[in-house]
Amino acid sequence: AEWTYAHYNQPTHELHLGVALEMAQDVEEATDGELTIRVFPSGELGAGPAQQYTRALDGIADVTQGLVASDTFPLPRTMLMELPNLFDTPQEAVDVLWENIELFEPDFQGTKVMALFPNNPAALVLNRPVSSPADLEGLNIRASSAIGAGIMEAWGATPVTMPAGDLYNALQTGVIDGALIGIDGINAYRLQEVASHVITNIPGNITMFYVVANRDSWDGLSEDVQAEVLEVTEHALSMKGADAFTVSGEEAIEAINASGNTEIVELTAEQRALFAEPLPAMVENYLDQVSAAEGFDAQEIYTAISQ
Amino acid sequence: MVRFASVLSALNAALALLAGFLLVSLVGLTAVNVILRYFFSSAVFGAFDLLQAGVATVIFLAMPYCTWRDGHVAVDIAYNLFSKIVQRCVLAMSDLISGTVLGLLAYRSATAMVSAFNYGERSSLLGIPFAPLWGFIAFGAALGAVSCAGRLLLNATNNLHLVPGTSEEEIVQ
Amino acid sequence: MSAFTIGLIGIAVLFALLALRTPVGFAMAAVGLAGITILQNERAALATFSTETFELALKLDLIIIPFFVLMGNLAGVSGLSRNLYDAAYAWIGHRRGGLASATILGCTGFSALSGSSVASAVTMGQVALPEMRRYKYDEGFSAASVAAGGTLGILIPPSTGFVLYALLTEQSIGQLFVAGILPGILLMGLFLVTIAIVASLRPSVAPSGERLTSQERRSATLKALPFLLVVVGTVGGIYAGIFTPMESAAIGVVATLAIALWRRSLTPSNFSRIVRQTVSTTVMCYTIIIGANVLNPFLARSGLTSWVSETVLSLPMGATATLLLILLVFVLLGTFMEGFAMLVLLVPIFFPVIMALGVDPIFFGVLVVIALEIGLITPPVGINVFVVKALVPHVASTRIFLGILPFVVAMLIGMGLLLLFPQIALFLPSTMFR
Ligand code: NA
Ligand code: NA
Repeated sequence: AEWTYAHYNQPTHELHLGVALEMAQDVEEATDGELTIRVFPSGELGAGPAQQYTRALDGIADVTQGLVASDTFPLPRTMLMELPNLFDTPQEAVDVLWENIELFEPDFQGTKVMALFPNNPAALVLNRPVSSPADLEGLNIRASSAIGAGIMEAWGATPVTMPAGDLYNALQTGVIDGALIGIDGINAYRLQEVASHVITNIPGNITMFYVVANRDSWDGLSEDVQAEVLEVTEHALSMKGADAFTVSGEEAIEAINASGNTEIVELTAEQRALFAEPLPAMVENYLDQVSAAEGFDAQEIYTAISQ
Repeated sequence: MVRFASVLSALNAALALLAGFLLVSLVGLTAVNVILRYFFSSAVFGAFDLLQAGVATVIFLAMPYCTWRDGHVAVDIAYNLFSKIVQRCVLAMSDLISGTVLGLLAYRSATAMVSAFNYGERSSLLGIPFAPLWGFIAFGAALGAVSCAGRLLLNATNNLHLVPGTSEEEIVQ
Repeated sequence: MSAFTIGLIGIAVLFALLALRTPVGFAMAAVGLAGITILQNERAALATFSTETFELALKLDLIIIPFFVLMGNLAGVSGLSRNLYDAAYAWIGHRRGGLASATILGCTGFSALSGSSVASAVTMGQVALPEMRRYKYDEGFSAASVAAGGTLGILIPPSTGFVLYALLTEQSIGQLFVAGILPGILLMGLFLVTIAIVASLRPSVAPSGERLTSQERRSATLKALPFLLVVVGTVGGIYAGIFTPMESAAIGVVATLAIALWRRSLTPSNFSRIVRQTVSTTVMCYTIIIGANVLNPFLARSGLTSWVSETVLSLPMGATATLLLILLVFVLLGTFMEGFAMLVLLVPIFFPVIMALGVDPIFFGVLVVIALEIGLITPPVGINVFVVKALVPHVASTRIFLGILPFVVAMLIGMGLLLLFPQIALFLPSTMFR
C-alpha cells in the first residue's frame, strides 16, 4: 500500500526532516516496502493547524501531524502534558508519556496514534530582563494556549493571543512585551532580531505534537505489517521527534547568540523557585475544570505524569 | 414568481444586514481592546476567539446575499460575446455549479456540526463551542444553494431581472 | 489514466469554466472537489472542502479585509474620499492622467498600512474609482491603475507575501521588509511613468482638467485634512507601535464612522446599504481564497506542480538563465494560480537551487514577490482585477485586462532593472543589518 502523510510545516522544518521523512523511511525498511509513505509538506493537502486531526479522521490523508493545542479537535488528556513545571527535556516527557500511554488512549478513539512528543520547554522572549514574576506585572505576553495563558496570569502578566506570524511585528512595535514560546520557535520566527532578552530555565510548559493514522487505513494493513510499523513508530518515532527538537533548540541558541542583539539569561535555582511558587494553584484549578467538563479524572493522569 | 423573488431578496438582505451589524461590533471589540490596553493595561481575554468565530459567522450569514445578487467574481470576457439565449444557458450552468458546490458544503458542514457537537470541539482560549459555528456555515451554504436554485428558476422563466443586482449606485455614492 | 493526466484535464476544465463565467471561487472548488474524488474518494474531497473553509473562515490574518473594506465604504459615504480627490485634482488634475497618478500615490501610501494586495486594491478602489468616474476617466484605465497600484501591498512592508517567504526559507522578515521598500518605490515610479505615457498617447482616457487658483487649492487641501489625519493616524499608529495592522483598521473604521456621523452623512438607509455592500465584498474575497485552497490539494496530489519544477531543474543552463526561467515559471503559473498557493508550492522546490546558484536569498524573495504581483493582475485569474471589477460591475473584464497591459510591461521592466541592479533591493538591508 502507499500512504499519504500530510502536514503544514515547511520542507526545511525539523518535523518534516526529523519525523515525517524519518517515518516514511523507517516504515518502508521495516515492512520491506509493503507499506510506503508519500509525504506532502507545506499544507499541500490542507493548510493551517486547526483541522489537522480531522484530516486524518476523514481520510484526507492516511497520516497527519499536528499541534494538540492548535487543533479544534479536543485531546483533553494529552493536553495535561502541557501543565507547567513537569519536564526539563522533551525526551523525559516522551518516556513518561509512553509509560502511561493507556491513560491517553481514550483521546484517540477514531485514529491510531503513531507518535506523541513535545518541543523544548518554553522560554520567555522579552524586550526587557526579568528575574522574578514581579518583573512581569502588567506586561502583555503572548501565550498560545489556555494553559499558557493561565501561567501568564499566575505570574501577574496579561496574556494576549495572536497568530505566531504576527509576533515579529508585534514585538518590534511594542504591541506585546514578550511571548512564552519554545526556544526553537524564537529562532523560527526570527524573534532575536526584535527582542532583547530570552529567559530560559523557567518552570513553564511544553507543547505537544501528535502523529496519527486514519483508522480505516490502519485496519486495512495486515497484522504482520501493523506489527512491523509499530516497531518503528510509537515510542521510537516520538523519541525521534524529541531529538529533532533538541537539535533545533541547540541551533536556535547558537543563532540567538550570533545575532548579537539578544541576551540569553538562564534563571538560577532560587529565581526559578520564585516562578514556580504560584503555579500549583493554577494547576489545581485547571485539573478541576477539566474533570468537571470532560467527565474523567484529570487528577489521576496528572499524578501519573508528575512523579 | 415576483413574490418568490421578493421574499428571497428580503430574507437574504436581512441576513446580510445582520452580518453587517455583527461585523461592526467586531470592529468595536477590536477598538475597545486597544483602549483597554493603553488606558487600563489589560485586554479582552480571548478577543481573537471572538473575532474568529464572529467573522466566520459574518461570511456565511452574507453568503446567500452575495450569491443571490451575483456578487461573486466571474470572468466575462467570452460571455459578453455571446447571444442573449447563449448567455442565459451559460448563466444557468454557472448557477448550477455554484449551487452544487454550496449544497455539498452545506451537507458536509451539517455532518461536521454533529461531530463537533459529539466530540465537544471548541476554541482553545474561551472554549467557544464550534458546533453552532458549523451550523451557521451549513445554514449559509444551504440558503446560498437555495438562492442558486431560485436564480435557475427565474432564468428558466426569463425573470432574472427580478433579482436586485449589484447595480452602480450600490457602490458607494 | 495517470494522476498527471487527470491534473492536466482539471486545469483545462477550470479554464473552460472560467471562460463560461462560473464564479472563480466556485469553479476552483468544483474542479478541486471533482479531482480529489477521482484521485482519492468523495469523503476526502468533501472533508477537504469543509476543513479548508473552516480554517480560512477563522484565519486571523484575513480579518483585516472586511475591516478595511468597511473603512473604505464609510470614507466614501462621508465624502472623505471625495475631499481627497478634490485636493489631488486641485494640485495635479490639470495634468493628463493626474488622478490616476494620485491613485498610484494613494495605493503606495495605503500599502504601507496593508499587508495584502487584495485589501489595498479593494480599499483604494472604493475611494478612487467613483472619483475618477466623476472626472470622466476611462473606467477600464481607472480600474487597471487601481488593480496595478494595489499590488504594491505585498511589496511595500508590511507584507504577508514576505512573511510567508521568510517562514518558507528561514530568512529574516525584517531584512525582507526593508528590501521591499526601494523596489516598491521603483515600481511606483514606473507606474507613474506608464500613466504619463498612456495619457499622452490617448488623451481621452484621462482627460486633463482646468488649472485651479492657489486659493481653490488651499481650500480643497484643507477639506482633505480629516482623511489625511485618519490615514496618517492609522499608518503612523502601526509604525509607532501603538497598534497592530488589524487594530489600526478597527481604529480607522471608528474614526471614519465618527467623521461620517459628525458630518451627518450617515442615514439609516445608506448605513444599511454600506454594511450589506461590505459583507458582500467580504464573501466574494473569502470565496476565492477558499476555492484556491480546495484546488491546491488536487494539483499537489496530481503531481502537476512538482513536474513543472523538476522539468525546469533538469534543463542544462547557466545560473542567470535558470533564475530567469524560474521567474518565468512564477509569472506563467501566476496567470492562473492564487499567489500564496503558488508561493507555498514552488518556493520550497526552487529555493535549494537558488542557493546552489549563489543567488542572494533576500534578493530572490523580492523577485518572487514581484512575480506574485504580476500574477495578481494577469488573466485569466488575476485576483486584483477581479476584486476591482466587482466594484465596477458594468465594466467588462476585457477592458480592465487591456488597461492592465502597460502596467504588466512596467512590472517586467522593474524586474529587469532589479536583475541588472540587485543593489536596489539589497542596499537598504545591507546598511541596516550590518
Ligand atoms: Na504592504
Ligand atoms: Na494571474
